[in-house]
Amino acid sequence: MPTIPKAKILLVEDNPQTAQFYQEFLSTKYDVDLSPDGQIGLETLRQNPLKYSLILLDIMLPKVDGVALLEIKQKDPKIAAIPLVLLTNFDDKATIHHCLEIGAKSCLMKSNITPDKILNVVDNLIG
Amino acid sequence: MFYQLTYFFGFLATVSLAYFVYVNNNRRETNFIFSAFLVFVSGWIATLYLFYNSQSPFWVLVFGRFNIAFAIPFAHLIYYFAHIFPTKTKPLNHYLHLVLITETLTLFFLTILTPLVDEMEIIKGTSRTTIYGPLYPIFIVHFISYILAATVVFFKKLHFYTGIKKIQIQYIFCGLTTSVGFGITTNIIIPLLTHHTDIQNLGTIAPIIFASFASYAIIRHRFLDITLAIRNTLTYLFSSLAVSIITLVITILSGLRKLTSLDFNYLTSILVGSILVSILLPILLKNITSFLDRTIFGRTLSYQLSLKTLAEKLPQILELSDLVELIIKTLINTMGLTRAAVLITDLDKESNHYKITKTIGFNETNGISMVKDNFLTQFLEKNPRILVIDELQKITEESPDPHEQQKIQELIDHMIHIEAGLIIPVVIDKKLSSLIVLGNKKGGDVYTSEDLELLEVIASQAAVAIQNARLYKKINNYNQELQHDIDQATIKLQKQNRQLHKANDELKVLDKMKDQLIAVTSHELRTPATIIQNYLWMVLNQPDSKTRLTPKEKERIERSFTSVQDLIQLINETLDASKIDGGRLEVFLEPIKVATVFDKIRSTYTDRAAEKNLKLVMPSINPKYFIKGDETRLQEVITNLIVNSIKYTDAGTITVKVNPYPKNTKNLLFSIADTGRGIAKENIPKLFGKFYREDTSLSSSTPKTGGTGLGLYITKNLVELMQGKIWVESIHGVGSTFFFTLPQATPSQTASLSSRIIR
Repeated sequence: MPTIPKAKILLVEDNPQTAQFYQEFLSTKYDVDLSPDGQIGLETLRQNPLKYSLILLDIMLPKVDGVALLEIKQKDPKIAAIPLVLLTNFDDKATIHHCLEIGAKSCLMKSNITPDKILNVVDNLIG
Repeated sequence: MFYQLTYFFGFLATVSLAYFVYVNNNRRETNFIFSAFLVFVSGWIATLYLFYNSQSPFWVLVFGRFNIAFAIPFAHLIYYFAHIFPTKTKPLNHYLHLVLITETLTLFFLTILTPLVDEMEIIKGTSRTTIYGPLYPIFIVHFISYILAATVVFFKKLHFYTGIKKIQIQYIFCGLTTSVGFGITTNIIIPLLTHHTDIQNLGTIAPIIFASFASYAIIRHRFLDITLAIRNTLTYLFSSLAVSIITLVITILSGLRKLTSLDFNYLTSILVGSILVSILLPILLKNITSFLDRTIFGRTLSYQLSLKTLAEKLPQILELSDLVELIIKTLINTMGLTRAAVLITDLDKESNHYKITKTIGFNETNGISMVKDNFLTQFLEKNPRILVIDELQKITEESPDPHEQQKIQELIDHMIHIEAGLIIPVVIDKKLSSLIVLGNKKGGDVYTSEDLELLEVIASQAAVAIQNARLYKKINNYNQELQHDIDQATIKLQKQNRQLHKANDELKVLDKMKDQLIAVTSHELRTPATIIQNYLWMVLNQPDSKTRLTPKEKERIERSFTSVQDLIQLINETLDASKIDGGRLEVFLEPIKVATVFDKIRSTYTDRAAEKNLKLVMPSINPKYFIKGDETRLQEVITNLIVNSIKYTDAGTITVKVNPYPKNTKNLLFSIADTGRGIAKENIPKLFGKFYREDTSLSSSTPKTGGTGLGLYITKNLVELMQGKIWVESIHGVGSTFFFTLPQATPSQTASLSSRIIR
């Protein structure tokens, strides 16, 4: 039985502990690549425009923040189609509203929810 | 002799009345006509007297004719007077008026010039027999008709007028009837009964009675006071008597006439002459004086007039400078002065320092300012009376002290230097308050005693006026000071206000910094707490956890997990509360399907309730119920209230319902009812406050009822941010129901934006 390759997720998260947790947590079902800041995240995406099935994006990031990354991504036709979920604690109405309007699929308030809910969202989007 | 006196007094009375009435108001027709009438009456009396006292047949005839003739216009005038008094009623027909005047004048001249009325007089000693001409009956008819007509007119007017005018008419009517009655009695009835014609002499009294009544009626309600009229009459009477006596004494002493040769006619002529002198002399003098004043001194105002003007104006002027100007100008104009000045003591200073308030003509450089505070003012303080330069000369001569003599001499020199002729001290409350310094008269005249009297009066009036003006100024100054103080205080307040604004801005900055601090710290706290929570969750939920963890370990990890969840909740609530305080908590307002929210909550919280053996009842919601709000926040509100109910309910049910709000169906009414311990009435108002907790006793602060006490505060603010209202009804020991309303929205097919935010 040939092994079905796992879908790839790009996690853009600057906090190593948080990143490590999500990588570990999601690794049972998905292949998670990590970008520690927005710039690297964007470069990774551009270099491998077809590689990722989903992007998990923090908002407060060094160099290029989440909102900027999202805006650039949405304007770049090669990567615009990749589903993107905000995984953040940044609770600002206007920012989140803006992100959801320009293309973020969902916004997960990471401290409020248990990991299983994240998995639900991810499964729904990739599934 | 008795009759002679009646003639004399009759004549005197009519002439003086004619004068008073005319002078009283010579522009009024009433006064003019009545005076004319009185002149004819006096003429009638005079001619009657002369008629009886003349011996020459020619003069007797002349006086007799004039006597009759004077009665003709006087009767006519009574009639005319009746028409115009007290006010002109309907004007007499113009032609009739002319006819009547012509008739009167014709009859008047016919009587004087022809024998048609009075043919001749037969003289027998003192008695006179008149042979009447053919027109005499016409005279009688003329006289009686006019008098009767006048009586009728007055009688009619008696009913026509009211008030003062009626009283005036009453006087005249009374006078007229009395005199007519008197005249009939003396001239007709008594002679007919007694055949004694002498009594006819008393007939002179009849018109006087009428004249007196009428004069009183005319004058009384005009401005002239009757007492003044009486006083004037008495004045003239006494002065006439005095003149007569003086004349008599002079004639006797000078030997012009002997005491024994004084006959009646002589005495009478002296008396009449005296009366004329006493009446005419003052008028003559006054006119001559004013004429001379105008021509020689060029004065435009008489003393009396200027005094009157000053007296009228001074109390009305409150501005000190205006007042002083008026005083100076009036004095200069009235007396024809070269210069004048007013010096006033300083208002606020106790020291006697005088300030030049106004000068005209004086030159500041010639030393007027030296008067301000020197020996002169000190002298005047001791002797507050008008100081004339000539008098100073006298003081020097009288003074025994050579030192003082020298001083006064200096003063005189000084006054001469500045060309001041006279100084008037103005005294208020026995204190010298001002000085009026006058120059010399233009013609080089000396100040007369009349001038000084006038100046005394002006000084006393000026004192009062200056006092008033000073008080006014004081009040004005006080007002200004008050205004100044207010302005200062306002400026100070504005400054303080600005400082407060600045402080407030600084506080706002600090507040913002605090919020940022809270935001950053909580964010930084949240990240590790979330990691702990997630790992603990992972341990608890990994597939083989049941086999790998002992029950004890599992319980410990579960406790840790709950605690870290509580910690995260605390951080989140603190953050939200901080946002509420800073007015920065925002919500999405978009159509939310209420059923969706309920479905999300139902299973989780049914389980949570079940853990405490409570039943959560959440009936399925009408899919048409939409509210305008924030999905995640609405979820938060409902779950907060459910969690709250679970916390304070030990047994029973928690029921969550949604219905249209009966009071306003544009809103939906949410209710979360429990069967818990309820809330004490006194605690209800505090319930939605910050950090409120139902149970503050230490014993009950178990982990299960823990929390920040911010839950309901945030809940209330979220409801209000979504334009709703929240309240609670509770019976202690029975249960509580939380209600909140939210505005309904038109159903929307698209999923709400906020539903994509997962908290």
